[in-house]
Amino acid sequence: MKKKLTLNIVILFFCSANLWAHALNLDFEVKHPFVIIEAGFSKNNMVANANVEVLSPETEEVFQKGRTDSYGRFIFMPDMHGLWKVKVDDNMGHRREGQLEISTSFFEDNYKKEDSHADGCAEEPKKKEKHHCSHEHTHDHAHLSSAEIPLVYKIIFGLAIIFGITGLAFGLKSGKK
Amino acid sequence: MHIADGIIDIHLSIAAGVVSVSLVYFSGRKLQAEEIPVMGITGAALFVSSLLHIPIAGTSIHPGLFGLAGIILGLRAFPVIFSVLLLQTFIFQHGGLFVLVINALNMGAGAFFAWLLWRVKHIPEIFRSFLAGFVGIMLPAMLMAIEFRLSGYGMGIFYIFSVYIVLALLEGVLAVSIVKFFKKVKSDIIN
Repeated sequence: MKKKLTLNIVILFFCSANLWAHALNLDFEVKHPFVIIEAGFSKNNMVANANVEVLSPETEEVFQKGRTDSYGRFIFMPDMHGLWKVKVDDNMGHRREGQLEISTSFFEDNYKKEDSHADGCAEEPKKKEKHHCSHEHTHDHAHLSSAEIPLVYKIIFGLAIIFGITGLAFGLKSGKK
Repeated sequence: MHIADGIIDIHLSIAAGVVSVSLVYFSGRKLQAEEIPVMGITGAALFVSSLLHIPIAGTSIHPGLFGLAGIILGLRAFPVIFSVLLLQTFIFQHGGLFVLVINALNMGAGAFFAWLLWRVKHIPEIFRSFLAGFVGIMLPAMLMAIEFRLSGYGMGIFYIFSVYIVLALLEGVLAVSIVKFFKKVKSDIIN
């Protein structure tokens, strides 16, 4: 009975792992002519009111400054192609920097035309609906997070290293004796 | 609690680095083989506990178990905290690599003062363990607030205090229950 309970707790612990992830993650969504930045610790815990700085590609000067809204979103309008840098900081020690490549096709006419029918989608306030409106050619997503490898694997990996080092150190120390 | 890179003043980071590396050396000296499994298990508990995030006041905090690490490991808590932080930085990007030494000092200080409190035998055990758990979180949080202040960053000491006090109280209660549990099943771990 006790063994079963322990096993259940362990399973529950690992199954809920995708709710955890403490590092600040950034998501970029390109919706012509805007770029939407979403900052959050997890899908259900977006960072509201975080400081955002957008640096332009060539000069690396601050192009736009501001704060995320209550959904953890910040929108800017790139005016040139190149590698844009984004810094997000929640003022509590959590900071993340990301880069987003804006290609020359972003400023071409056909890109704008293709996107024109999707304009209404950008206005949608709910995130789920917004993702349904995504079009392959016009909307690009980029995700910058520490969660690309499933968190459970990372936990197992970390624990394996800890126990491995512990075992090795114990073996070496015992051997010396 | 895990400060990211680019926030803390570089001079402060270098000074903390020297202190931190020295502390890892001195607190890890003359290690006995019997101590290693307990250090490993405590390290694993610290590693996993910090993944449980609690959304609060627009940010995210997490348990640390530094007080408990202090009670169980005493001075050995520092090298364990340092190693766990190193792993968390590489695997989860929790905190920056260049400020790892500062993060380790903050959290190690929490564990050290928790251990000092735990050793004051004339305080009833239930209060000692609660205080150790409480101090294990509050002290690192306050140190972090001071470092933010020195680096001209962040929302201020009062904000950090109000965010972390909830967690510190929870960790105090957790420390009491874990100490009680160890007293029943294996009392030599906490003695």
